[in-house]
Amino acid sequence: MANALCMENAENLVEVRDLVVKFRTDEGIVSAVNSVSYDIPIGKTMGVVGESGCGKSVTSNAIMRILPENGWIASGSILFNSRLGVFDIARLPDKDKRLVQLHGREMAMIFQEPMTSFCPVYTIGNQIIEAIKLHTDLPKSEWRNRAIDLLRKVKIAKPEQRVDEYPYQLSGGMRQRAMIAMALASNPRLLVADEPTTSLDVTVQAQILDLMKDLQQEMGMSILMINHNFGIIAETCDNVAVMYLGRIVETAATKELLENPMHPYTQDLFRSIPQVTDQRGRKLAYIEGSVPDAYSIPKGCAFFPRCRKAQKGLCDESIPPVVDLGNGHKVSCFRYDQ
Amino acid sequence: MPKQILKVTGLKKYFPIKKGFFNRTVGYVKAVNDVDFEINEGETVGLVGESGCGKSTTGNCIVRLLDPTDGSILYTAKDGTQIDLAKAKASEIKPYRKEIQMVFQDPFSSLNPRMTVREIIAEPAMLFKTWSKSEEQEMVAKLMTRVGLRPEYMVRYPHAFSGGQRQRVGIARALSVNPRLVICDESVSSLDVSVQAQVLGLLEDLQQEYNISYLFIAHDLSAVKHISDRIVVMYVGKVVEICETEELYSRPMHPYTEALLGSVPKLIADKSVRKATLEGEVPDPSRPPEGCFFHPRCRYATEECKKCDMKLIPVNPDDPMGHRTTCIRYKELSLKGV
Repeated sequence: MANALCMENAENLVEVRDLVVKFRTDEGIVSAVNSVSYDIPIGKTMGVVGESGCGKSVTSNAIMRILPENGWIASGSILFNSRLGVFDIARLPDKDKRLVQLHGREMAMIFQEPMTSFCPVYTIGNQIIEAIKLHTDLPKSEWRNRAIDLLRKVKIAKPEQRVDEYPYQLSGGMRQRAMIAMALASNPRLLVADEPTTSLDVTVQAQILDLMKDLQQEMGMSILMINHNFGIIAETCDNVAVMYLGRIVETAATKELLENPMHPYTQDLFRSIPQVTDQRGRKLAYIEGSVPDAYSIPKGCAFFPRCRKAQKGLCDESIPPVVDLGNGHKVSCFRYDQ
Repeated sequence: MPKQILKVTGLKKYFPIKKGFFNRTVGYVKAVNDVDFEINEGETVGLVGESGCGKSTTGNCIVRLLDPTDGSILYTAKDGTQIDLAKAKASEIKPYRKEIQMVFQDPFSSLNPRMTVREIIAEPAMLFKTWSKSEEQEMVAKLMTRVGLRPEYMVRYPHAFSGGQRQRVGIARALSVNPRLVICDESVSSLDVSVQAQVLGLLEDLQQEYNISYLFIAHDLSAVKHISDRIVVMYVGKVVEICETEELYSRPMHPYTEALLGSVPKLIADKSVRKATLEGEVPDPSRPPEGCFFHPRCRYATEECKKCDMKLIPVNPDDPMGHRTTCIRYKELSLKGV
């Protein structure tokens, strides 16, 4: 069955097509992600950026198949070009053995909260060894050494000593390094990083981002970077998708997106981000209103009520099609050229 | 010469560490350790630093949510009388409480969920009798309009508002007693970028209208730059640099400031950029290093730095209130700004 599937482009590791993720809540069924499509090329970093509630984490959780119990993939496909062949992750049943093989061996994830992502009653070493035991074929005698090697790889000082320490004994930055070490245990082809540095201070954040870039160069893995900070996305990603209320509004190469944003949301957002390089006194532009909640998504283009280019009778009637501007730059707006 | 409204000298706040059966004090966390700075009338002073550097503790000491261990906080009231907020009794401070107000970080936990927005905004004003019962509704409506909320919503409870709107409620509450100094403790940190810009703009407009001074506590150097006239940089309980905003960003005089500026992610698409300028992490404030607290992480550190006493030195001796730094080597170093 798996062999019948084929990637659109052989250079892609993951191809997400028309993904729809829904959640059952007390207020009814909510579509958190709506016909989202993007690619993650082999060895490159793909960034997904947006404000809170835009569905950026839900897409990555869908790829990892770790949606909460009330959420499910309603339609669409997620093709993954694994070492064992091409799989459609969206179609694999929950308890499928192939899913277990993909997790850990082919893809791994690091989370925002390094404190809560580790179990407090086991040592760091124990938890890394668990990943090694499950996802590699190393003999038992090698496990501990491999764990120490991994800690050394993520530049933790004195790894022989740290391997026996508990999570509470490590600082925030060190815990995030240990989590990366655990994710790397099986040489994954895809590393999903969901806000990996949001809880860290800027100076430590810079260290972790540098480390991730180094590891990518060394191991050639692809990274899916989920973040709300455009600065981090700009400095780490090759391609970016901007999300708003469950839809991708614009996709482009990072440089192209920053220099030539086409969607009114992207344009206004860039103008509203304060930067250290700004002149003092520059008035920040801002977008009127706030992000509506998922229960009251406006009809038509979701950004319509806050958009300065919106046209009544057009933008509030139907969902704008995706326009391909060439070189991978895609925008979903009726009036991008106005 | 601008009129000074607050002068903090030698402020200290130590938290005892208790241990054992007899709960003996075994040491102190020196959260704020000899801090000096001043705030002029109508001015915004930014207080920046990484987590645990004592910036919030300083703010809490000024409004006396915490009792300082030592030092003085000299406040010059509207009528010209001076009071030392660090040593005064609660009854002595009471008449001045309404002149110093605070806006908190988390708009979800700083508003009482059982009170309507009208009750929340009016509470301080009723307490200090700035409004009479009969004008309450009218004044609340006026304030709500001023901060960009619709007055019809005053009967609603906080849960019905978004994060940005709640932060506006918090601002309206602080303004209800006509304060002269407002302490904003990470007031925009939890908001999305598009909304953050709105709130920053509102704070600036209000300042011009009512001639309010702000102490703007934040870890985000980009937002601070937009709003501050002068900036105080803290590291492990100490002030390391005080300077007028433009100069701090273009010509920092402390290696820590340089490192902070270098670590901030910028909106420039460049994956090859190396960010980490600092090794290691912030030291434990209960056991800070000898000499300059920053020397173990500082790449310019010399033997002398292990012995210096971290006193603020004016860069220009003729202007003792201008640019000040604790770095003893600032003259030899040519540090990089942005």
